[in-house]
Amino acid sequence: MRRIGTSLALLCAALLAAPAQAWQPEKPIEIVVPTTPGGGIDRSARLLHKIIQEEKLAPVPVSVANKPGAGGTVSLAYLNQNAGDGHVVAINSPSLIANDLNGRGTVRYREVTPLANLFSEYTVVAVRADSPLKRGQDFIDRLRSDPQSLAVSTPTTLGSTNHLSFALVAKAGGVDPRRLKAVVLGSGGDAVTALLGGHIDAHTGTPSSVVRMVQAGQIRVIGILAPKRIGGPYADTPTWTEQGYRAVMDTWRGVIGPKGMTPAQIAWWDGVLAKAVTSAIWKQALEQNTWEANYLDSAQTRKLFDSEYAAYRTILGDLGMIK
Amino acid sequence: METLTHILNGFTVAMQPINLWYTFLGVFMGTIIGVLPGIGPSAGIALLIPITYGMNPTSALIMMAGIYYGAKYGGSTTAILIRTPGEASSVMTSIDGYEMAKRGRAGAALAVSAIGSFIAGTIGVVGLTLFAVPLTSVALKFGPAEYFTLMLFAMTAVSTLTGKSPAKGVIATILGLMIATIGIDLQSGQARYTMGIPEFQDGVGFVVVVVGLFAMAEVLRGLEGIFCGTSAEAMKIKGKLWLTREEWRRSIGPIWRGGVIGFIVGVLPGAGGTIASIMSYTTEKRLSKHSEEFGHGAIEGVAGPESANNSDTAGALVPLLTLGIPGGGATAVMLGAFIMYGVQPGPLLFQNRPDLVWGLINSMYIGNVMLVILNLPLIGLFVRLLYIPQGILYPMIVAISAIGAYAINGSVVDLWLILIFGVIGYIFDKVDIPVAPLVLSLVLGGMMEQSFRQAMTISGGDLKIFYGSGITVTLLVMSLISVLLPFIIPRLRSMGSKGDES
Repeated sequence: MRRIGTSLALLCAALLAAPAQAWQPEKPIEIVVPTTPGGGIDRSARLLHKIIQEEKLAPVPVSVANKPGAGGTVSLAYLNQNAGDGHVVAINSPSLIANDLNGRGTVRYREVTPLANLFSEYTVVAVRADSPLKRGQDFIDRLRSDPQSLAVSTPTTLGSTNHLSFALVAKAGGVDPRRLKAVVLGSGGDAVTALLGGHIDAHTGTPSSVVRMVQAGQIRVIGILAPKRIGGPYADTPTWTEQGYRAVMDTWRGVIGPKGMTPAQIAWWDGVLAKAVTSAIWKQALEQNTWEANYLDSAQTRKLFDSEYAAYRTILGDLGMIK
Repeated sequence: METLTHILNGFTVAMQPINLWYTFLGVFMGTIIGVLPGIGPSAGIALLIPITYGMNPTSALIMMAGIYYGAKYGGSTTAILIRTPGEASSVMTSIDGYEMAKRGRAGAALAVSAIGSFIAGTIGVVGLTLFAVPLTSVALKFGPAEYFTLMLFAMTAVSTLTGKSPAKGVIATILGLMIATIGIDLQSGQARYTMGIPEFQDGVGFVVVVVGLFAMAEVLRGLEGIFCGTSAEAMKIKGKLWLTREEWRRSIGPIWRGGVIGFIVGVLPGAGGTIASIMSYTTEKRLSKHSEEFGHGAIEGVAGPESANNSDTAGALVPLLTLGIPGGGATAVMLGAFIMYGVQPGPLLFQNRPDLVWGLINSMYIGNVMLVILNLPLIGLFVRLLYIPQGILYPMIVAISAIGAYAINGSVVDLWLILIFGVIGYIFDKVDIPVAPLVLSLVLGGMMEQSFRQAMTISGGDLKIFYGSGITVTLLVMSLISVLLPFIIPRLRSMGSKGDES
């Protein structure tokens, strides 16, 4: 199904590419990363950089620039300083939507140009291998008896996709998300250390944040917040939905441009990014990082943003975090 | 037995000419990156990633590790010569190192940094070789409550840094704590004291504050000297470039202790080289017979911290290799590189890829030897900086500081901040308020507050969590002793002078 989707997307991109002759980059392209070096977002930017250069997808040099700060707000502000310029793009994440809702951001999500979604990371709820929480049901049962009975780490801030994952699972089990014990640790690494050390009862995070421990048999994932099972090391791990609790959280990673990009510029990027995700390097990286292929073109990404905005609005509202 | 074979095989890997070359390349680049403030090892390694795509993973990782520990060698250079720490973890060095340079002992300060880094770096690698796997379980025992008590213990060191007037020390400490609260609070998700400036959401950068307080303040003092004609004479090298016998004797202890402290702190994810160097500095000040010299060019204050921040890098590799958990920025970038090469660091790495693990670890022994050989002759070159006329030197310090501060986040706000903190540092100096307590409380304050609240969330508001484990109780007792020590020692001394040895 996904393959058909991708080919359809490719077809669309190819059709769109015809009038795109109208625009070609004329100066070096800059890929902006909203975080410091290290971590998944930075890695995906550098990967894209490598593919565009090695596959010669652009007639100009490409560089990566880290503009960390304020949960991505600094990079968005930088991006929009280049309004209407097709040479500066940024890697983005759901914090674009979350910051719009919680009032932390200065750039609204509608003020940027969506170009593509590259892949998805559905969050997981993980426990230590020797934990009495064997299945999703055990987790829900404990929360139902006392929402405060489980300390769950939700890096790296309140209102993050990890925190929302915990809230969604609890809500699906009929537990008030506001009464949960969410512990915010500074980084995903700190959280996994605290989980292994038995300082917390469970951890929410991306599949890649715990994959090494899962393979070594030290951590167990009791449920993935995915619409259907993901492959690789998690082939045997059930989703929350199949355990009877409808909870899906997709930490998507995509590419956005500044506001005011022309249709010709957007079409050029549609063509380049559609080709990038078919490269062998890209496919290998997806597997190595436990990322789920989920390419969406610019128009589909716009729809994703709108539907995610509505979904986040609901759950952040339940948590009382809307400004 | 099997492990021993693996270790020996690792040396064969590390000694391959191609890997020796990459070790050299890594430590050489690391030294340069270390000398430049702002550009830290994490940015340096990230820049290199595209170049290493086609390389053998072992060689690439050997080179990246070389940059990481090599940067710690370079970081002390500017700290000593122009009071600008090249790395965050060289901040303590810019206190006594620069004072040593003023007294004409820049050569000795640079030499002891290089030798201390070498000895401690090697101690760290030995620790990594012998204890990597058992130490993992110790790192896991550190949860939020343990971190809080550790920070509390480190915080008690403030009293040793206050200088003559405790009240002035308290002013500096409180200002540091106040700055540490700026930014988005992790536990509530609310912005605090950000004053509508988006850049403040992540807090005020440590390096930015330090560069302002130390380097910019020094420039302002220099300007005053030039305009008022009270400018101190240029810092000429007095005596030999190398360490004197006396200096060497005083450095040996701090180097060993710094090496051990650095390694242990390095193993704990999140603590890092800056805290290691602060702990080493305060330890040495407490143990020293010349504690009054600290802050005025005590060689122990250079030897200890510079050793600690070097063995810290070997310690930081423990959680990275055995758990796949990065303790800081540079190790996070290295984790990304591991994944890119299809190598999964974690509990299975030592079983699955012994050639890579031991090749990497053993290359660090060689790298440290290369670094000391590389750095010692450079001292003669670097001290020439001191002969640059002030009219050229001060603008140069401003330029280096500005480039360094801007390079961290590419933010103009940081440039304003170094200027503001430069003025604060200048005023502090005029009214005799020490800056060291500010630096310490800034580093520790944020972590201390967050770990306290994390622990309180976990325990549901029950303070018992802070005396619930052996580690927390030990650290609490150590903190208490540390606070009481200044009151007890003079009494013991006076008793000792009457009777026997105390």
